[in-house]
Amino acid sequence: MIQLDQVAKGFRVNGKSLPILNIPSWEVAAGEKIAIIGPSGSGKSTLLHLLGGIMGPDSGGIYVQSHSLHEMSQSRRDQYRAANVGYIMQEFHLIPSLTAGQNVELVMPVAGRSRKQRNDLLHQWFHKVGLEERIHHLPAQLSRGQQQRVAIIRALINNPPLVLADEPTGSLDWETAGELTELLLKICMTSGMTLITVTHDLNLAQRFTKCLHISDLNKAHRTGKSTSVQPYKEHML
Amino acid sequence: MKLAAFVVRNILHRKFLSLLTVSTVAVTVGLIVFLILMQESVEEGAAKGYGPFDLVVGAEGSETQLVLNTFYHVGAPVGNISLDVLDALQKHNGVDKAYGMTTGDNYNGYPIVGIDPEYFATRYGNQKLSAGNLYGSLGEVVIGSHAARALGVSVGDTFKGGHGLVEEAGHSFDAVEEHHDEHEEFQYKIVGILPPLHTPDDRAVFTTMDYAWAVHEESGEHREVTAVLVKPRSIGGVQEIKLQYDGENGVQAAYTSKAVADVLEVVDLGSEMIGLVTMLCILLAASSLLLSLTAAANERKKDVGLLRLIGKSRGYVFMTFIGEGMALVICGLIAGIGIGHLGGYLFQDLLFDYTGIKINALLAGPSHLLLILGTIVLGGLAMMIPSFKMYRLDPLQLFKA
Repeated sequence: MIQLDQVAKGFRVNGKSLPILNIPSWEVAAGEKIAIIGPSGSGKSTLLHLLGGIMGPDSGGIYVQSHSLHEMSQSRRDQYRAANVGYIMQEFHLIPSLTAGQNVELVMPVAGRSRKQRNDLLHQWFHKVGLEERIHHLPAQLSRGQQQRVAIIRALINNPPLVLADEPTGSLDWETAGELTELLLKICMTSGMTLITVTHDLNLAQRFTKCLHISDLNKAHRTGKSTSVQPYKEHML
Repeated sequence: MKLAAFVVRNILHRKFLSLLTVSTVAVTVGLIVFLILMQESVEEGAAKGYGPFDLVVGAEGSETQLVLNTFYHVGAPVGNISLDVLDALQKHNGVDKAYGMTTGDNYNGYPIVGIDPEYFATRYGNQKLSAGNLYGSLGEVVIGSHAARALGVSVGDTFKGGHGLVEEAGHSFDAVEEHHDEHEEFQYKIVGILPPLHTPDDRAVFTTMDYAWAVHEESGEHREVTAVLVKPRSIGGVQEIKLQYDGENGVQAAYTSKAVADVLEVVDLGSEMIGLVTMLCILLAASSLLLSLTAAANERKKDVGLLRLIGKSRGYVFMTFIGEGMALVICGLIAGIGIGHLGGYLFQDLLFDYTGIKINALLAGPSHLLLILGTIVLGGLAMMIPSFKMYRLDPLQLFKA
């Protein structure tokens, strides 16, 4: 499903080159549910951005299904992302002028489905996450947990083969965070989607089929001063 | 979700700012439409104002004043000339028609003009009166359509004229110091109402030429006329008549078109000044649009980041902003055209009362097309900067603090 080969990515800060990621090799099988943990600034989010085609690597190859992301132009990566990637973020980023339903509708392709089919699908998903009554509400009229549920529908409604979640429960209380993680895992499990989540929450991370520490993948942060984070561990649930 | 629906949602979400932008564009466009209507109506009215009478003969003095008073019933007459001048002109070989005009009185501010009733056939052809017949004897009057409507009079009504030249807003201006009372002893009877002629004649009261002599008890060689309207047989004949009469015994002969052109030149100067103010308004409207969209762009950086993250192209993002701006501009444009024409309609009677020129509120010409194109182009230019700024945003914007 995903293959990374000698991927390097760095940023220029104050004129100096700062390496962020250096992944010699990494493979993810289709349908895996992986949690990546690690301290801030260790390259977790950058890894997600590379997998989502938001940015390209400085060097190396990134292959997702049949797509060679490192060879794609930005517009091709936009198309790839629209068709293959569902993205969930810590801040839900719902567009305030659109209702919950319209926020989801925004990602639904118009071609190939009638308006009624699109509407039915929308209602099914809102029913699935227990928000059917809120479909016509504006984001400002929803709680944070409800907003994140809408963001999850937005990410999953097109059945993307790959779902990337960047601290999806980071701004929620622990109870809601637990519920939403279960919901996300359940849906991805049922639909066979590959889910890669970045989180600081070890309790949540343990619910995934695999839990990786970023430093196990990323050689850029292995040298120099040692970090205070946990060494590599892997859980198979 | 279709782009148009998204644009509409964004506009409705910022109701106040959207309304403010639409209002600014609407007021500016409305002002320009009103000025266009004024200018075109003034030009149209000025051109139609003197009919086939290429020459006007009157007392020595200002040419412009002579023409304005004779054809537009505005301001005071320059003076009077002897009736012999009219007789001579009527017999002149180069003259097709010559009509003497007497003025001096008014009815509730509308000038009473003494002129041969044949004048109407010569100038307007065979038009049917709205009511009644043309006047035939002393004391009978026909009344212009606008004056009849404004005064609420009908055929058979009688009135007494007030002395004074052209009256404005209920008070008369007398060129010669005479009594200002109504001519109690002289009564007029309305025998006809003219159809709308769309010229200054709509706001005048017409009667026989001898009314002024009767009112002012003039007889024999003392009888005078205020002006003689001359329709020459040929263009070449005009110059000959002018040369013959101009400067003779206190008489002047003026080319009507030249005097009107002089007035229009002054109007044009005024229009240029108004044009400058209008340009300022346009710049303000464009700035308002630019500021509104820049505010929207800054407010929506995260939204744009999200659109890019979910795979929407740069073109889509660009079009949402251009579409939003264009929708506001077009709404403002439509409202502005409506406001301008409504303003023209509401002000047409007021302008007509004071100047004899009627704004045609339904006038639509190439200037409108130019205004529409100009507004869209200028609006488009104002939108470019914020739209392009958003076009360049990448999805990483979403993850920036």
